[in-house]
Parts: sequence; C-alpha cells; structure tokens
Amino acid sequence: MTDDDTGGIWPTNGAMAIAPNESEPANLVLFARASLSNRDMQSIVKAFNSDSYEMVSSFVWSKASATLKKQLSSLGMKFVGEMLNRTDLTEDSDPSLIADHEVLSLAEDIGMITSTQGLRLKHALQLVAHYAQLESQKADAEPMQKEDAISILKTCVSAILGQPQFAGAVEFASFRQKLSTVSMKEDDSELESIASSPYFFVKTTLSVLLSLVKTLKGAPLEHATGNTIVILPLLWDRLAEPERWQVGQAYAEVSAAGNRVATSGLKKSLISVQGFDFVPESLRSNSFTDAASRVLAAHFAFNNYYNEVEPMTVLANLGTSIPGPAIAKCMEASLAVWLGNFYGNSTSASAQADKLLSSLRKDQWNYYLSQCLPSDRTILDKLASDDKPIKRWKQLVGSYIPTDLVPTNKASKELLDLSRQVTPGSVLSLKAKAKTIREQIRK
Amino acid sequence: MDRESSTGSRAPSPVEDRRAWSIRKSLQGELLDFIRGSGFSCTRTEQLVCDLAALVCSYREEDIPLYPHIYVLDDIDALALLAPGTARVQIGTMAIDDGSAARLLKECANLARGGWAIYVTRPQGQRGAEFGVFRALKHSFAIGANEVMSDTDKAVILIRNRGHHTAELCNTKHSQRTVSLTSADDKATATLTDHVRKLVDAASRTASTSEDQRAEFRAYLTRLFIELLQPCHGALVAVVDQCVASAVPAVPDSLSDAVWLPVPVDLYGAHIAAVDLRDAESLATLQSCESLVAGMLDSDGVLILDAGGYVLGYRLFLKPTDEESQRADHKSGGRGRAFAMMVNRIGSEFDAAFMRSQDGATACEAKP
Repeated sequence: MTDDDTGGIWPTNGAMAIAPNESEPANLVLFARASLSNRDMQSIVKAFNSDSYEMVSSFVWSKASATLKKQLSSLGMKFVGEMLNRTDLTEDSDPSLIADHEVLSLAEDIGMITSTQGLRLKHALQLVAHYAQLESQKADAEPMQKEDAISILKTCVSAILGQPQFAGAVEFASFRQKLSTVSMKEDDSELESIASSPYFFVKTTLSVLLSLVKTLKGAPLEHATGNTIVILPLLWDRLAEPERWQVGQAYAEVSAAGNRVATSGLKKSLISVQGFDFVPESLRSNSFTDAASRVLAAHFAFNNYYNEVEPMTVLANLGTSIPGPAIAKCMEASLAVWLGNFYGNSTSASAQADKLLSSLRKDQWNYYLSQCLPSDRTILDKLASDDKPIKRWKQLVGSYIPTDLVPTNKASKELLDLSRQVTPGSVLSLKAKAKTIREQIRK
Repeated sequence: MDRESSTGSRAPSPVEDRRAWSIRKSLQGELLDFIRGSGFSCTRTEQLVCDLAALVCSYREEDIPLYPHIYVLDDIDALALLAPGTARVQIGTMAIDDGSAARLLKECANLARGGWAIYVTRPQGQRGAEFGVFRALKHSFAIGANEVMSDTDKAVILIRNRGHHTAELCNTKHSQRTVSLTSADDKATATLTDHVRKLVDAASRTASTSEDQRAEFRAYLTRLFIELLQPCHGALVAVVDQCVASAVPAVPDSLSDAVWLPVPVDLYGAHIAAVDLRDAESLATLQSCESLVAGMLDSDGVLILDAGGYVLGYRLFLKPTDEESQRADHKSGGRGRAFAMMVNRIGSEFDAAFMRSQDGATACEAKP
C-alpha cells in the first residue's frame, strides 16, 4: 500500500514527480512555478551559484512553510487551533503563529503530504534550524554542503511548492463541510467507510468532529453533534485511550463553556459508549498540554538548545501527576528534548526533562508505550532516522523503564525488546522497527 | 394515670385521647414509587431520600437557613456525567441508618454553597455510603449538574429546597416531586422556580434578537436569581415598562423615590461577553455584576430591572395612590402591601412584579 492509496475517507496528495537523479537547482525551481515568482526562482538559482547554501535553504524553507500554513489557514484558524490543541489560536490569528513542526504534523494528518514527505520535511527543518543557530566561527568551519541544500530544495518543491493545489486539503475541507451540514444516518454508506478506514483516518475524523462541536454554533453545530452521536459508537472500540480521553476532555470543556447543545450531544455520545471513565476530573490537562506544546515549538525551531530550557522547566515543574488527556503530549515533548536530534541534545533542557521522566511511575510508562508511542510521530521519526537519539533512547530504556514492563501493543513490545539489546546490529534493527511503526500510522 | 382527689375518689385523666402524627409514613408512601422509578432499589436509600427531603424543606445551622443541593447517586461514576472536569472532595463514609441524613447535612450543608453541592453514593459491593461535596456549577456561565441530569441511565435524585417549607426532588427520568410541609393545597404547586422563571421571562424579553441567546440568558438569570433569593431576608423585584425604562432618569413621580443608576448595570451584556470570550476578565466582570445585584437585592425597597437584561436601579419605595391606600390590606406586612401596589400597576408602570417574603413564600405576576 503506497502513501497515495491508504483506503481512507478522503484521498491524500501524491508527491510531485521529479526524476530521482535531478539535482540541478535551475531545473528544480521550474517545478515550483505554482508557488514561486520568477524573481524568487532567479534568486534561488543565483544563491546556489554563489554557494550561499545556508541562505537559500532558509529562504526556500520559509517559502514552503508559509505556503503550507496559508493552505491550512483556509480551513479556519480556530479549527486549526482545535486540531493542534492550541488554545491561543483564534479565528483572527495569523497563520505564521502555527509552528513549523505543527504545520507538518497537521498537513500529514489531513493528507496534504505523505508520511515520507513528512519525514523528509522534518529533516529539512532540522537542517535549516541547525545551520541557522550555528555561531559564526563554527558556521565558517562547518558550512552547509551543497547536497544538503539541494535535498532541502528538492523536498520542499516536490512536497509543497510544486503543488498547484492540495487535492488532499480540498477533499478534506469538503468532508469536514459535510460533517457540519449533513446529518448522517446509521445506514449511511459513508459511515461504513469511516468505520473501516485506517486508524489514522479514524483519529483525524474524531478530531474534526470534536473541533466542530466545540467551535460551531446554530444549525451546523446541531449537524456536528448529531453526527458525533451516530459516529462515535462506530469508532469507540477501535479508539486508543488518548483518543477516548479526547472525547471526555471535549465534554468537560463544552460543559464549562456553557454550550448546551454541544454538552447534550457529547453526553448522549458518551452514554451510548459508556465512556465516562474518560471524562477528566479537572481541566488541568490544558495547562499541561499548553506547556508541552511550547516545549515542542522550541525544540523544532531555531536555536532550540537554548530556547528549550525555559518551557521544559515549566513543564517539569507542573509535576508528574499528569492528567490522562495530557499524558501523550507531555511524554512526546519530554522525550523529544531528552533524545535530542541528529546534532545532539540540549544539556540544560535534558536535565529538566530528566526530572520529569525519572519520576514517572510504571503505569505511566506502560500507558505511553502501549497507547501513545505507536502514533507518536515525533519520537518515531527520531528513532527511525538519527543515531544520536537512538543511542539516547537505549540509554533511557535501560535507566527508566522497568525491566518487567511489557507493553500491550505488539509493535511497542518489539521495539522495546530491540531497545534492550546490546548487540552491534541492534541500532539498525531498532531503526528499521521504528520506521515500520512510523509507516503504519497512516495504514 | 388517674389522680386522687382530696375526697379520695379518682378524678378523670385530663388527656384521654392522645395521638401523634408524623409525616414519615406518608412521605415514604408518596415517594416510594418515585424513588424506585429513579433506579434505586435499596430500602435504606429510600429512607435516606425521604429523610433528606424532610430536612431540606427547612434546614438551619446555628439558626441560619441553608439551602444545600444534594445528589443521591447509585454509582460514583455518575459524577463524571453530572460535573465533568470538576473537583470532588470526599468527606467520609457512613452506614445508612436513621441518623444518616442528619449527619450528612451536619457535615456538608455549610460547604454546599458557591457552586458546591453534596453527593452521597454507595459504591458497588460496599455496605457504607461515600459522601462529600463536588462542584455542581463550575462558574457563572457553565452548565450546572442539574441541567445535564436528564436522559441518562444513571440513577440520580437531586433534592433541594424550593421555597417556604418546600423541597423538590428531581431524577434523570424527567420526573419531579414537590414536598411541602405546610397545610397549603397540594394543587397550588407553583414554587420559587416557577415564580422566578416568570420574572426572568419578563426581564429578558427584549434582551436579544437571537432566541438562542435569550434562552441562554434566561437559563443563567433563573439560576442566578434562585441562588440569590433563597438566602435573602425577603425581596421585591420589578420589571418596568419600556416607556419608563426609556425615560430614565426622568421617571414618573410615583417611581421617583429610588436610586436610579446613571449607568445601568448591563447584566445581559456581561453574560454574553463571558460566554463568547470565555476568559478570566469577562468572567470576573460577570461575577462582579452578580455581587452588585446581590447587594441590591439585600437592600430595602424594590430592585428595578428592564426587559433587556439591565438593572436600572434599586431601593424603590412606592407611594400609594389614594385608591391604593383605600384598598390596601392592612393585615399584611409592608412587603405584601408594596407587592399588591406593584401588581396593581402591571400594564402601566410595570411588566412584572415579584415578591419573596421573609418566611420564604414567593409570588409573581406579569403582563401576559
């Protein structure tokens, strides 16, 4: 099954066809006519000709991320905020407020880019951020190589700048529109496709439904809540605990907001699946999720070694009584900092992450490994690609994860077993296993 | 026992026919079907509900009346349904017996204010009942636990005071019972809630062109007024006619003896802002308006509202016309006579008039 054919509810974008051996900037930019002006294309070629690789890479990256953010913002910034769990984003927010790593994650979620493109774009972001933060002496001593710059250009063009329109986004927008304008019935054939879709689509459909219920008013809200009442029972048995918590959290939030229609709808939905175990006893999870989001934003941005420290300190100081709905995000953020990236990790920020990770209980580790890791793109990307994070991961497993812990998820169990091995080939095996799990996210 | 008289013969006992009557048996009989229909099958729980209903009708601590809301649950998980995302504080456990209701209120009634309510439940497989308090209302514009009770398979009974020696029991099956420990005709079932709703309908008629927003405001205002009116020593509230409202401060002479606010308190605006913005600032503004209204209700005289959700003034003292003076019922108190005057002026100066007397009785009249 390819990235383009995942049997989902809406089609995903394919990669632009550029010959694998094409590496001439002047030819590559031509594929980006849809998004770049003639002046832009000429500037890029000139920069390559003058060996200004760091500069041209930053420029290309900023153009690509701005294009993707603009496309996403057409879905409505409040909706984007809900999908990203960003309470600070409102309808009037500027698309530039979406962090680069968030736009890649959401674009992959709704099929604007494939998982392979997502992985490549993350590497591109990592490269650009790394060279942007190098001090001048180091930058002179270790300049960016042409191959890296070509790779960044090619990735950005094929995944984003070369796309005249994102068919995946258009179809997704149409699907989302339907959820808020049409009341589905239990015998609707579309419901069958939703129920039998790959888990990734199920998860995204749930996120879309809940964000519609939380943000809409009037008749569209009634359609959205009606559809939630019909759709949730079909999906419930398949949902992992983080997604079930998402539903309970949404119920608590709309009740606190005084939204009677949404409260009534989600109440009926939860009653039908007996899901009240997943209704949190407080809305503290928002504080944890917001703090974790700030950590990730700093981790994936420029100068991350310095900028991660403060948000990670804040997250660590919130304590280890992490509310259920926030566990996945908090673990993603803490592990991202602790594992670091291709170039290493921030010592100061890792010490704060260490404070949190070292005091987690066995049941919290079990929850993360069994329920969250199989869909944690951030951590799986690191384990699938870069040696330094993999070595840190093996060290973490040896130090913090109880030896008798056996995750209930088969793939996580196999990953954990490989992490505990000390044979020379174990790093490669671990990498391959992480890559397989990563690819399964959209299947 | 017969007493011996001074002549030695036995005098008849002064009391031959002595009977005692308690509402206990009749209350149990009346509420049994309701309690079982609510989903409870335990006889001890049935007794607890009856005892709580009787006590809540007129509960006092240190001679201060208290109005706790009590939720009797069959399953502690029901709290997640009623009060999602809110805190619960367990106070203790107890065996359910004859003294349970009194103990429950003794330990929890004083805590059950400002959004907190009492819960009592018997967890599965345990003999004792767990009890404590929980946030039944998170903040001013959140949805309260009583509003989400309906349409669920959980067994829940809400018991609360609803007026002068009156308690109301509601369950999740759209059933309701009113227990009145007075000699009033049981067909006269209009309660505090009914009267407040009538007042609120008049006070929100022109609040917004959107029916949804008016409905939200009505639900909020009803809850607010019930909460503020219960502990107060008596109150009078009037909704003035549109002509009067638009003439403020140049009001008719008959209404001049009042504190007319130069800038009315926009309760509707504060509520809508809080609902839309959902931030700390707007919630603080709404709560500050509520404090003001509470103070105005506690003051002597009539609280003055308009039909658009504004508080126009307070400490209104009405001057009776000659006709009103002649017709006044001199047996009723000052508040009663003032209410009668207000009712007489519905259609001219007022759209609605509401009264709560010192002993908790309520009445409301409004323009149709």
